[in-house]
Amino acid sequence: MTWVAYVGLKQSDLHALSAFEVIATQYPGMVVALRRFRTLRFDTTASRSQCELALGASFEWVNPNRSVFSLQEGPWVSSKGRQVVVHVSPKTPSVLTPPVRFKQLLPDVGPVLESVTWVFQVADHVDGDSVMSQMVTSTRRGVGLVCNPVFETATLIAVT
Amino acid sequence: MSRQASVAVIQFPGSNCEYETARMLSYMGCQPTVLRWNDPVGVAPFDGVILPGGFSFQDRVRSGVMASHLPIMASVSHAIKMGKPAIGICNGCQILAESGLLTDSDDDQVQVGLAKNRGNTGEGVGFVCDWVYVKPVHPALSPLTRYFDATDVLPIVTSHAEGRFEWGEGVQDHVSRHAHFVYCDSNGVGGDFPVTPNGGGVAGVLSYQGRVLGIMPHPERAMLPWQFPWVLKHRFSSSPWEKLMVAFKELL
Repeated sequence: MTWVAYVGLKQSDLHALSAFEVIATQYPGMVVALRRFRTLRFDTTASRSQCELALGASFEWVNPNRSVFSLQEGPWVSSKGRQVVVHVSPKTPSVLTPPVRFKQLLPDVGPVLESVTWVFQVADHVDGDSVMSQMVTSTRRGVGLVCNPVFETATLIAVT
Repeated sequence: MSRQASVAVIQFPGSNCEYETARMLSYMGCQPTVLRWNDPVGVAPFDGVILPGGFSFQDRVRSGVMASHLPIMASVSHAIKMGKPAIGICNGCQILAESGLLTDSDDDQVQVGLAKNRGNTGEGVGFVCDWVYVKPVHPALSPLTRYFDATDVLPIVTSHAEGRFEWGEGVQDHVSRHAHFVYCDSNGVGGDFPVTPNGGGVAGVLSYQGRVLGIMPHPERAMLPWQFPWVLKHRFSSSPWEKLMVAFKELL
């Protein structure tokens, strides 16, 4: 089974803060908040609890002092307000070498692919397409931010 | 008495090579000014621009992308369109790429990207800092590289995590036919990691008109003879990278 883990920071994420600052300056009144989650995708026959145990014990990916993670269900599901969720991944997959503890707990785990999930909390009048075209994909200088289309792919995965 | 050519070295928040870049320009007889990123006048008063290395805005989101949104990059874009020469070194190269200024497109389309370094089997190799060699390819086709010879093998420091050039549609074909720099060994032969530290082979590219250079290794760290470590066993009376700066100075 394929598992997807969303790893976020407990404290302020400076990447997300800076990105929000740029976007909010360019498009005033459109974005209310911006969050970022490192996304890990892997295949294993292990159960959900085993995967959670392995992720929690692999301090290299999830440092319990500063990170939290959720498995399968995006952390944005429980949030209020209108949200646009965008998945940004490199065109050439970014394959991570699993930490030893992770590999010990999930011996049959396949390649672990890394990507980033951005959650735009937007104003009610903003739709997913305008987020993708104006804020996500960098087509020209000063347009778009979180995805360079030359070597990354952005996918709209949810509008809530 | 002739006027010294003035060059703006833009200091972004997080740049860390601006003063040695200015020192390199002084050494070559130019008049450098370290210009802050929020300077209201921009680069218009200067004859040329260099974007130095470093970690602008802590490399947040993607190396160079935050700086590419600054108003001063509009000024740099205007200067380049006016025909002024520009060099982006390391993070400066990433900023030029994210600003769409490496391909001379009219509307600054982003057609070049700098992705993470890769090893021989596609695995990430992270930040690589080492002395490496590069050689120019088709140097005669660009005014900035015209003093190099195709047989030159140039020692230089590489110091980056995101330096693998990726190309938009049609750009790679164009780059391969024009002047650029590629990684090689001390004999001028290309090879796998660590000879090629980024997993792609290309170390620097020139814009279509050849007046803008984006280069990932650091020429300013190889400009003085005593900057070359003794382990490389090279003994230079003058740095081979002076050819680049002589050409740059002539374009000012």
